[in-house]
Amino acid sequence: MSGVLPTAVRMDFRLQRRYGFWYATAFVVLLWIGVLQLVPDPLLGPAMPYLLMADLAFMMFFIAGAVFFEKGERTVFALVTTPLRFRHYLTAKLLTMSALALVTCVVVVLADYGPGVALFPFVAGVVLMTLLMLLTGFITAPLFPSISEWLLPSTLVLTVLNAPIVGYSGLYPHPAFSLVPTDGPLRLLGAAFHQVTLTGWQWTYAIGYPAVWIAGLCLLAKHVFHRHVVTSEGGR
Amino acid sequence: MGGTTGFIATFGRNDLRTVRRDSMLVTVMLGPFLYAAALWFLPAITGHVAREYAFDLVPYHSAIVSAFCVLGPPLLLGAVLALQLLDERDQNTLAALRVTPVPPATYTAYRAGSTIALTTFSVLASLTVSGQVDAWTLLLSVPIALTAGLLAPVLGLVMASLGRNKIEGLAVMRVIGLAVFTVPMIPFFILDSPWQLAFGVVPAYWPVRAFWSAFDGGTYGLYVAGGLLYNAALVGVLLRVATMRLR
Repeated sequence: MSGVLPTAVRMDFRLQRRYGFWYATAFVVLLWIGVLQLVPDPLLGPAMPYLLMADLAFMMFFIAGAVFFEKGERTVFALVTTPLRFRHYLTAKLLTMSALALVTCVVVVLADYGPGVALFPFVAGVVLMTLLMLLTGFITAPLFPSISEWLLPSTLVLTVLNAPIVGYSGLYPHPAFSLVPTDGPLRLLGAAFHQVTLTGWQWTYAIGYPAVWIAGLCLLAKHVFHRHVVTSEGGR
Repeated sequence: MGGTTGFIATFGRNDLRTVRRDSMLVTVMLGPFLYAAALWFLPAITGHVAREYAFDLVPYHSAIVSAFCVLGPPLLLGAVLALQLLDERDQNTLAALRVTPVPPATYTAYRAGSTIALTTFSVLASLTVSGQVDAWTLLLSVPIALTAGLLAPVLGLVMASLGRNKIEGLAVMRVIGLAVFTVPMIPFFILDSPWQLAFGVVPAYWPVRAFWSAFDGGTYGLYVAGGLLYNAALVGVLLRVATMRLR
């Protein structure tokens, strides 16, 4: 059984490359590196958490695209007949896509900001943020018949996920923003670029609250996937 | 010619029927308001940045407004166009059309045309709702909105032609999305240099460049004319390419 997950991970990496995600990411990294040169130095630190958050949001589209594609091509139904369990399927996707996201962020940050970033909150912030975006895409995509119909509802979801920016930036601080699970990862990114200092319980909240959400979303993902993808074959 | 008009009327009627069935167009119409709503925060953000970082955002207002209201709608609606075309190819709708008397390019042209109209409207609507432009600038923005409208099918047709399927289309969209939001903004920092015109090869340069001039009360006719001609020519070329690639 232990060989199933590594095989699934290898397959997902191969698919990523074939879908052109790697080339796209390379271009994106080059563009970010170039464009961030234009940002005045004193503003770079404050701007980084927002920029990383905006960039990571795209992971939602990548995973949704993968779900729609595999559903359309029926590869999902072939996979159902293999020893691959849902938890392997989802874990492989989350693992490979967050690896891609993390590499992107590391390269961009090292190139433009330098090694002065605080490592632990940076990695924790990027990974938690990415997992939330990925799971949101994975759960919402099967609810719609086609990707063009999913695209716009997804921007509304994205608006909610981005709402903590309003509180974090100090524009309109309100405790309600901390209910949105992306608030914690955003604060971790802020800590990574020395914009905010987190106290003991804030660390617990910033890591624990999104982690609870991620666990819950994984369970929901299984339910949605079985109900709207696996058992709806023929309905398309 | 009369035949083509007939086909377009048929496609249009069919689309209006689909609108009732799914919420696609309703949500497309929400797009500009989302962009505009983001700009309601602009005065507060400007004050905040000035207090916190001693940085004056006011000289950058035209660039910020143009990114949200002039580039945002073409990018969003261009992506919708690309995904629609790729979806329809994957579902073989396009193959079905080939056994009808419709000339091959008509369908793509119809989709591009409706995207131009929707985007033009969307740009003007978001500029109006944003509350960041005065009435005179809004009036000057009508031809700019049309230039931005032409930009939408340019982006959409490139995305649809470069991706072999939906998911590759998304990878292309990520690159184009970031490029369109950033590259045309670079000349904003070198407005005094004649080199800014070199960015004219980027189709998105023209509507934003025209908008900056309109916003600051400069002359903008050249940029509007250049943008309309260049983007219209690109739409023409890309329609042929996309029609061939999407078959």
